[in-house]
Amino acid sequence: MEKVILSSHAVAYAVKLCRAQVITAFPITPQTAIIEKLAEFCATGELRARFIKVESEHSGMAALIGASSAGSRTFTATSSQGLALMHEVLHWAAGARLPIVMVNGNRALGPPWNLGPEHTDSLSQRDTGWLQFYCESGQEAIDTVIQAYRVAEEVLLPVIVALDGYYLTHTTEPIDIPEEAVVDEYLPPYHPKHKLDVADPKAFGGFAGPELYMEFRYKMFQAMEEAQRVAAKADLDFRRLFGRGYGLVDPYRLEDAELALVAAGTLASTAREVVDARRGLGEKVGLLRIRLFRPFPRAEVRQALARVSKVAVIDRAISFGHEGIVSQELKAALYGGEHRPLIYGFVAGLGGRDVTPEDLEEALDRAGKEGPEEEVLWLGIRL
Amino acid sequence: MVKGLFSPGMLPLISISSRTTLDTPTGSWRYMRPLYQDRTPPCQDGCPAGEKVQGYLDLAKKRKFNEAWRLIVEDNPLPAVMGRVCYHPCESACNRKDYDEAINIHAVERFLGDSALAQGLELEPASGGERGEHIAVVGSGPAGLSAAYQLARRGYPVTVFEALASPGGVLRAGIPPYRLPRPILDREIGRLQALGVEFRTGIRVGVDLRWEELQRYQAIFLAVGLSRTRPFPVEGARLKGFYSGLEFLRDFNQGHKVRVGARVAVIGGGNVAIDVARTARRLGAEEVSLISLEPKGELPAHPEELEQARREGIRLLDGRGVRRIQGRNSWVEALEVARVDFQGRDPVTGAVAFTFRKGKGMLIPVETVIAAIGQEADLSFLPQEIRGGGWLLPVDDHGRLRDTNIFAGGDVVTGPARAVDAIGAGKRAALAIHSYLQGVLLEEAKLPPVVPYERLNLAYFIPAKRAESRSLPIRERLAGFTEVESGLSQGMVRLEAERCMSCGVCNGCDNCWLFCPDLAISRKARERGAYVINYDYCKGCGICVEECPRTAMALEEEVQWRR
Ligand SMILES: Cc1cc2nc3c(=O)[nH]c(=O)nc-3n(C[C@H](O)[C@H](O)[C@H](O)COP(=O)(O)OP(=O)(O)OC[C@H]3O[C@@H](n4cnc5c(N)ncnc54)[C@H](O)[C@@H]3O)c2cc1C
Ligand code: SF4
Ligand code: SF4
Ligand code: SF4
Repeated sequence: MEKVILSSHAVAYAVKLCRAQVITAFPITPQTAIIEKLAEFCATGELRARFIKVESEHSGMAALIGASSAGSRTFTATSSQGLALMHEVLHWAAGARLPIVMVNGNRALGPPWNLGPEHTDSLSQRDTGWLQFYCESGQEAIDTVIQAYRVAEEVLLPVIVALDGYYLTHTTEPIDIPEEAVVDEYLPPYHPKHKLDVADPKAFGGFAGPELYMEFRYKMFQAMEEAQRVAAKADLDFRRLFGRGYGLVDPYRLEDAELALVAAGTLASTAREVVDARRGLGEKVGLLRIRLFRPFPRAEVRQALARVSKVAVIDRAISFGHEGIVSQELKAALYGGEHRPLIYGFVAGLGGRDVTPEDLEEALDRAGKEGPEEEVLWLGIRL
Repeated sequence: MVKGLFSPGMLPLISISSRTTLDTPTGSWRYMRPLYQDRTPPCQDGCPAGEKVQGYLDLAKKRKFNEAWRLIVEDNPLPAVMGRVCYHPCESACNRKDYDEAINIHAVERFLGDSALAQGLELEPASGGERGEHIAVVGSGPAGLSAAYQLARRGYPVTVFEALASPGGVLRAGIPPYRLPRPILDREIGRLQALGVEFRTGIRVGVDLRWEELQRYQAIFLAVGLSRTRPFPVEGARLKGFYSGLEFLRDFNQGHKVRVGARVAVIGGGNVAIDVARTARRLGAEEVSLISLEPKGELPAHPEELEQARREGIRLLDGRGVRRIQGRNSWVEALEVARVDFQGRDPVTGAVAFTFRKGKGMLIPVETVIAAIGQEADLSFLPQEIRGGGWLLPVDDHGRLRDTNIFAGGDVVTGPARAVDAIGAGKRAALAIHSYLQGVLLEEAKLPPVVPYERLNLAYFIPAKRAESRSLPIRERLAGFTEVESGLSQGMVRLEAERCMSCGVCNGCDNCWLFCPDLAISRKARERGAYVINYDYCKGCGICVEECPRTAMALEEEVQWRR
């Protein structure tokens, strides 16, 4: 059924279709519309879930850890400082192998106080053991949440689905809401092997000394590796049932490209326009959108960029003391491959500053030069 | 990679115990031991009769009104009366007053008393059977009634001698009916009769019955209160139109005709003076002035009573004394009052110290003057060796007159006090008499320490407004002697009981059970006494104790390392 709705509401529909059983909620801009819609679904009985209002994001995640340990399908949404506050329990959720799904409305961290979209909040949770998807549209958001549960419950790791704040969370578009019965077919009920059970009391998360700890971590590592295959399969199955799919990375006009733009999130839509415009001028440019960031789809990335000689990464994030985060990941991935294009790492659009087609034109022009002027290239700085 | 350390499937996905947690007796880690240990709620401590306030509020909350009433009458046989007239020191002690407002305890007590009357509930004897020793009680005020009740329910035959025509003491002869409707008093006293207490009214010991005749009783309880008015030492006290407050109320309450003029001056700043003033207003006096030596804020009267008087249009002339009463044709005509410096009051004798300030006084034209300046005991019926030389009766810690079978309690021992003090005195005297007759020392159970406000875990309470009873509009009040306070409805009583924080007494809130991280606490029911700690698994973290909202648990050192 097609509806013209907010992407935030699309997320709530996805959670409803996935029959989440426990939802925790703590309001933070720009994700609040998601939990509000879910509260509405719970209040009307359309979704039969326990909706828990918590006193902080840390508690919200902690409560989901409990609920998920007891075998429930769980959901929460957060953003920025809220996600940062969760940090400690994010590690716990992953280490306890709980398939929690969470939407993050990407937003810059303060100070200075700011509500605009930026990826630093979720990218800086890179090493917690959570999978991370970045969406470009409302349709992709609803579909990715559904896929996220499939993947999470198969590899037993939690998943963040990231939506650019405002640009995506607060944008209305026509969205095809999948049929309930088909979603049920796609996503079977969750029955974990181990769960909290009063009839069979067991200790969870107990101590493991150095003689055991590493093995548990190795298993997590393996699960993350496995997640690439599982996510690809989940996307294929999704395409089969719903006629739509996205891939782990999303290449655009790259077949014969010499220069590739790389971006994640809504920025990719602007990049597509710029690519088309440059193609119109006869320039061989293309775009690679990173959809799955963790696990980092090394093979897909290498393959997609196998023929380009230059790459301009547009990062909506920064790791202070080094460079844009996607840019680092990309360099690391390509270094391990045979083909090593020249990489221009741009930082742009922090704190929600609009990244215009002109900005991207400038990036392409600067990437046209012989090698980057600097290690880290800032776009649109006005000092 | 080292191969073969774990055979396939041996290492689980997560660090989960392979067997049940019951295999690990975490109790061996413990060096502090939690235990269930009730404390005394401040309300109970504050009630001189020792009513188990928290207990009956809890029962009222659960709609167990009859059980709640049974709990009250263990300590006080007159809940409907005391729920009306008591100055409720329990509420001044109530922890909830530091949180928002004290629990309206007296209103709940009154409701329970009224509901028992409406259902015709009767007092029941305690187990223990009939006893042979006959006991005489002299005086039927709250002290006498309380002692008679406690003795009768223990199986003793009791005879109460009362000088006035009907029993009740000040409850009947002093307190006006707009505060205590007489049918309520009659029915609660009637219940004592039904229990077997014999009342012989219209018999003033020493006049209608010789003191010596009481010697055939195995024990005597003297509860004769303060029945004599202190003489008013001012010129004009013999004029017509001058009354003493106690007599004025006694006459009115016994149905004798009492008349007041349009302008009335009441002398005194205590509760009796206020009763007199409010009664005079209802008898038709248009201007009633209350003249007190004490400056405002230091009056001995209860603030609630003062406020009601103010609302009924009674004028307070504080910090003033009466120089003389002016008369004409042997009738009161005016009162000369002047400012005083008040120096204090003897709490026992009621004697006051003050000096008139310099300067002219003011003349207040009045038709009636009523002096309510204190009462004293009339001990003339007692032989000198018993009564001693003082104002009051000298008794030991058990309320006994030295080396006799005579006990005493109430106002005649303490000086002017409150009805609830008398109820408590009667209860304690009954226990002392029982001990004396049985030849064993029986003491009241010693109560555990009181829980102060600071020991409550306030995170678990939410502010809630105190339920107040409605009071009669002023116009309707002054038209007669209809009861002023209407009391609380059943619904309001339950809401009010819900506000009680159950200080120091487990009320089955489940917190300890919920919070124990080792599931070491189990419960048979959601109620006090139904929680069990399994010390094989309690690791002594103390979370249960910390999260108990009301300090009904304690944490003790497991081993006393230092002696
Ligand atoms: C007008 C007034 C209003 C009051 N209002 C309140 C109030 O609202 N709340 C409150 O808590 N307190 C109040 N008090 C105080 C309270 O009433 C007394 O503290 C309480 O009544 C004392 O009880 P009691 O049993 O010791 O004596 P009393 O109540 O004085 O009873 C003594 C009884 O003994 C009888 N008696 C005396 N001598 C003899 C004898 N020789 N033979 C036989 N019988 C005898 C008397 O007739 C009387 O009935 C008030 C007091 C007065 C005077
Ligand atoms: S809150 Fe309840 S238990 Fe505590 S002092 Fe007040 S009446 Fe007593
Ligand atoms: S919470 Fe449980 S383990 Fe801790 S002290 Fe209380 S009973 Fe013992
Ligand atoms: S926590 Fe609640 S149930 Fe436990 S002892 Fe305290 S009052 Fe009773």
